[in-house]
Amino acid sequence: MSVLKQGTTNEVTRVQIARFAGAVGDFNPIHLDDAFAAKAGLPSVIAHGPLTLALILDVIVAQIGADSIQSFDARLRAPVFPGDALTVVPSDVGVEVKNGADAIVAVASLKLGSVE
Amino acid sequence: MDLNSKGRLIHEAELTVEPVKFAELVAAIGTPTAGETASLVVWFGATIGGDDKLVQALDMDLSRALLSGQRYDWNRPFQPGETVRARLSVEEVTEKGSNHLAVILAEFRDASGELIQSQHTTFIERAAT
Repeated sequence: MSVLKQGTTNEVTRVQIARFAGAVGDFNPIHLDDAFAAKAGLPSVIAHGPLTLALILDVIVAQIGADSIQSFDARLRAPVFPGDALTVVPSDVGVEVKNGADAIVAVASLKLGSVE
Repeated sequence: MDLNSKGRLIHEAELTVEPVKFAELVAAIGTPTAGETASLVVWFGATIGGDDKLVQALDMDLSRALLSGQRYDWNRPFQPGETVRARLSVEEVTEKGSNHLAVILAEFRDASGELIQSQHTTFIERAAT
């Protein structure tokens, strides 16, 4: 998608995850409680999927504006942890999103056009 | 997961895009363009009805469930302070190997019934070990 350029988010923080939990009312302990996350086999809490997607969208919005995006269809491939910075890389149909270890954490297709 | 839950209504309600909650979302995103981005992603389908309603409708084991996909289709952004009608339903439930997949449709309409945004949220419930 040639209209987009590669961009990177700030590192995801625990405070950010907690703020998002409060904003959307999702207090699933897998996002907030390391002990609970450990029982699920994770090294730490993970970011909410919709927070990850909001951060990806924000990189796109910063380049082309919210009014230019008609649809966004994402598949989450791997969890995002505190400390991860996400790199949003344009692809043929949308974007690929990688973490600091260069692993793909999400792929998304985009439909662009004017949204009133 | 209940493979017969396709078509089930999970929740329907009139909601206000609370300016305080909107500001919290902007703070969570935390960038110069967060206000614009937040107007696209005010809610997501899984939380609008509350975990309990979603879990009960799907008979889903939350400890084995993960969000695996999300699609947003926008006709326009949300406006802080506006009242919208939200409807959340089970669009699809399928088996894939030993896992179960459910797609939840959330539709948001304005007072005149015009669709503002629809969201398709896909959950995967991993097989019990």
